[in-house]
Formats: sequence, structure tokens, C-alpha cells
Amino acid sequence: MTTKTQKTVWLIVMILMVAVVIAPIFVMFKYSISDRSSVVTGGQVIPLWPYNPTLEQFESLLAMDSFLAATISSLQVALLSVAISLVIGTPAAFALVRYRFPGVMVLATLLISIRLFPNIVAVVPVAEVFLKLNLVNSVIGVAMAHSLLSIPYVVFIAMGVFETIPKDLEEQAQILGASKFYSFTRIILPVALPGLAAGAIYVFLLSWDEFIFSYFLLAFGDLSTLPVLLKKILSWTPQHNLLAAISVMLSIPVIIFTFVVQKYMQAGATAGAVK
Amino acid sequence: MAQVRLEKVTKKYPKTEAVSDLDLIVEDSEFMTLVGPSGCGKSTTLRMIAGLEEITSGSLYIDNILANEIPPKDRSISMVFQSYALFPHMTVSENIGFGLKIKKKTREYILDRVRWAIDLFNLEGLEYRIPRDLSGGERQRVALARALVVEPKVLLLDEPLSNLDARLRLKMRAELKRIHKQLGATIIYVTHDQVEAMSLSDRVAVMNDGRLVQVGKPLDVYNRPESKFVGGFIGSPSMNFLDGTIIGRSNAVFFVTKDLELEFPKESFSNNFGTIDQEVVLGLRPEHINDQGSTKAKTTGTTTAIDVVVDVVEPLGDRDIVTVTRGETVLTLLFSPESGAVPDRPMKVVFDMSKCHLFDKKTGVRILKN
Repeated sequence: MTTKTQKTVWLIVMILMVAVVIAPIFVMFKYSISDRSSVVTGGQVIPLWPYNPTLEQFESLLAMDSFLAATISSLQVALLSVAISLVIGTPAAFALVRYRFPGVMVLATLLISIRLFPNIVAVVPVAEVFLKLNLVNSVIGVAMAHSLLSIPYVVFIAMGVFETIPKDLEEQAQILGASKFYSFTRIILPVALPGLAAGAIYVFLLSWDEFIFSYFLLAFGDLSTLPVLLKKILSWTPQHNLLAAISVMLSIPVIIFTFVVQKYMQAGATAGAVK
Repeated sequence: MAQVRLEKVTKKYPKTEAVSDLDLIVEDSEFMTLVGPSGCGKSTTLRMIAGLEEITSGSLYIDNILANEIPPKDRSISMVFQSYALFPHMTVSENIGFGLKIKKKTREYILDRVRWAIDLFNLEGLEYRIPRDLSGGERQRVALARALVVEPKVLLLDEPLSNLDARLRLKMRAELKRIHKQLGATIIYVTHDQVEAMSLSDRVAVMNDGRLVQVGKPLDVYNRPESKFVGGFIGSPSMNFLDGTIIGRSNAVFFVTKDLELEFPKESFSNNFGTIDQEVVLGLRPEHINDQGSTKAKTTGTTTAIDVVVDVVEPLGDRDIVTVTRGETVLTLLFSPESGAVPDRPMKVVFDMSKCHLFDKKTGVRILKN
């Protein structure tokens, strides 16, 4: 095959891949700004672009108290989950990397063991315990449950990050008079920040669209996260365009959060330290 | 500045012994180099002095204070790592001032000292750069500045030049020597490069297999290696070693191998060495075997020329490294470029036997007492 045909084939494959990724997003976006006649066409082909693009679905969502409450709860839960999992997971990862003690791999495997079960299985004992501890129907309870799911990932991501930070940096800080805590907070953490940001994004996304644990823990109260609210709204069989608008609203914070934190994710943060 | 004294210092790991019974005194303001092949225990020794490795047994004294249990930060030492270990998220100034900031010095004092270090290492204009934007040589100088700004009693350097290119390495070598002269710091320097060891140090400590094999001034170690290992390790190109026997014959003493017969000058023999008929290893440095026509050959007093065949000539400009063969024996020689050595041509060389070293064949220990 010549280089030129090779290039053409690659291009076609790329276009196909982009289409596969973009198409659902486009459909979601298109529906969210569709007017009623572009959705309920009475047998006509649904148009590629709505007849009268409108923001009225968003307006009605934003006017809905339960939607606003759920958005705020979701944000609170997600940010709290990020905080809890980073505060617990990062030092744990550091200890696992730096203080090689017997059985360290067993410990690491145990850490991730909750994820070996399907969520729907794992949720039962968790809900049971949380119920006894009176942690249901609360933001902190859901955030703790989400942390339970995300800590293993944070630990593994952070372990990878810490392994790339040369021990020399700590030893140098130690010789210059820094305590272990000082060198961890002033040297290791700042250097690890870009990698930990990746972990933070991961936790945020996991919490933001987590449904099963949230649903079990919030089933009997007024509190809802967005996915739980979506489920409640679905039970009234609403129009496609309203659902699409909720989906768009669900996606927006994810996109914003990713962009904000991505700033810290530039490659080669440790460049210049050693070599 | 201070003296560092190691007494019977041993470092054991679960499976190996990295350093065994090391006795070494580094005097105040001395530039001491620990040199040896990789894995000889020199870095471990340095890390024990720094306090980064625990000492299994033995005593370490810094400034006459037993330091075994003193944490690194209270030992009044500084260390420069092979990797420089600059803090990547801090500017040059912040890196240099880090140690002072931790020690809670006043802002004015820190600024003052950092300025001093920046002047000392010619780092003007780089104060606000981060390590990523520095060249290798600049990183090296920042690391040194950071180590010296805290006024350590002892400065520990772990192969600090090995990451630099050849030209920069020469420059930093001179720089280190200048700093040492200027500050009179006690410096313990670890390297596997014997040329660095020779050119920088007041004294060198040669290590092998976790043991100290010889300590002395560079030239003394060069001229009088106590063992075959030291003879072979110090000096470049390496010393030539020949396995043979000492034979007495008609009022003269010879060193005889399968391919060679070399006569010892009378005076060196009279100073006694081993027994006749003993199997020994003879060591002779490349510069002590000369081509017959050279002025050096004429002044040695030895007249017997040996026929050899030139194998390879490596011109260095001021001299040539010449590899010659005689039978199965291969010798490395240093000739002046005028010697006219041409590959595959025969030539005559003269061995300066007054400069030879004799080592025990089994133990490698020096025999000749000259």
C-alpha cells in the first residue's frame, strides 16, 4: 500500500471514529434545543436541525426547584468526595510507595477489592451499615459512599505519581532540615499536583454520575442528586427534549471541571528535578 | 569545618555486606575522594555519613561528636546528589534559600546568603528561573549553591559531575577546586572516575568490595599502589600486568614470562623482594615502556630492547595510546606522536624496570618494597 492510500484510509477511519463519538453528543444537544414540533413530528422524519431552536427546556428546568436542589446536592457530594478521597488516599498511597513493608501488595489488593464486586452487590452491605450509622439521606453519607468507591482509584493513581518522584528530592529536603511532614507537604505534594489533579477529575466524574449508591442511600428522603432526580423525572415519561436538556446540564459541570483542573495536568512537571 | 572519622563502620543489608570495617579519617578542610568501581560501597559510605543510611556497626564522628544516631538535619552536613535533586517547582533563589528558610533565618539573612551564593557560582540573571529552564551545568551550580549556603561543616558530593558532558565536566572540576580553595570546606567526594579523583583531591580513598584498600595522596597512590587492584584502577590507560616468575641467573635477576625476559636493575633487587622462583604479577604503567629511540628510553639505564608488533595506534594529539603485542602478550603504551608507531609494523621498546610494581600472584598484595 502506498503512503497516500495509507493516509486516506487513516483519514476515513479517523472521521468514522470522530463521528461515533460526536453523533450522540450532537443528538443530545439538538434535542435539548428542539421545540415541540421538531420532536413530535407525527410520522414525519425528525429534522437534522430543529425547526425553531429554543432554550425553553432549560428555562423550565432552571425554574424547577427540585432540579436546582439536586444540582447543588450533586456538586456538594462530588466536591466532598474529591476532598475525602484525596485527603485519605494520597497519604495512603505515599506510605504504600515509600515504606515498603511486608504484605504491601496484599494491602493494595484489599483496597481495591470492593471494586471486584458489581456495584449493585456492593451497595447492599454498604447501605445496611450506613443505615445503622444514620448516614442515609445526607450529603455527607453519599459523599462517603462515593469515596469508598473512589479511594482505591485515588490510591492507585497517586502511587503511580509518587513512584515517578525521585527519592533524592525527599532526602535532599531531609538533609537541608525538613521534617518528613514538611517535605511531604512542601516538596512532594506540589510536584505530585498534576498527577493528583487527574485523580481529582476521576473522583469528580465518578461521583457526579454515580447512581446506584446514591439511589440506595437517598431512596426514602427528599434529597436527590442529579442522576437520582433524572430517574424520578423519567418515571413521568417526559418528552425527549426535556431529558436531553437534563443530560446537557449534567455534562456541563463535568466539562468545566475537566478544563479547570487540566491546567495542572501538563506533562513533565518534574522535569529539571533530576538528570 | 570539621573532621570526619569513621571507625570500623559496617553496613549490612539482609543479603549482602555493602561496607565492611571501614576506618577512615577525613581531616578538617580536606578534599577526600572515595573512588572505586560501581558497587564498591563508596556511595553507601557517603550516605551513612549523611545519615540517610543507618550504620549497622561501628562509629561515625563528625567534629569529634559521635554522629551515628544524629538525624541528617542536625549533622551540619550538606549533600549534592548525582541527580542534583533540585525542587522542580521552586525558582533558583527558592531552591538555594530552602535550607535557610527551614532553619527559620530572618528574611534579610536569607536574601543576603542567597545573593552571596549566586555571586559565588555566577548565577546572576537566573534567580527566577525554574530548574526545567536551566542547562545541566547551571543545575549543577544551583545544587552546589544550595548545599553551601547553609554553611555546612562537611560537604558531601555524590558523583556530581557524572551527568555533565565532557567539556562541562572539566569546567566544573576546576570550579569545584576553586570553591574548595576559597571556602576551605571539608569535602567528601564520591566518584568512579579515577581521573576526577586524581585531579581534585588532597587524598583519595580507594575502595573495592566494601573495603578500603588504600588511602593516600593521589600521586602516592599512583606511584606506589598497595595492590594489583589499586594499580589497575588508578591511572589511565590502565597499568599493564604480566604473569611470570622471578628467576636468578648469573648474578642477575630476571622476570620471565612465556613471551618476555626482563632484567631487574641491580639496585631495586638489592632492596629485597620475595623469593627467587616465586610466581608474581608484574605491573608497569604505559608511560614506563618507551620506544627505543625516545629520550625517555635513553635515560632509564636499561639497554635491552624488546621486539614487539604494533597493533593499534590511538592518537590523542599530545601523545598516542599504542597497543602492541609480543606472542600472546598485549601491552598498552603511551608514546609521543613522533615515535612513528604504525599498525602491523615491528618496533623495539624499552621497559623501565626501575618503575615496575610486583604483586603476589594469589593475593594481589604488593611485594616490592621500593
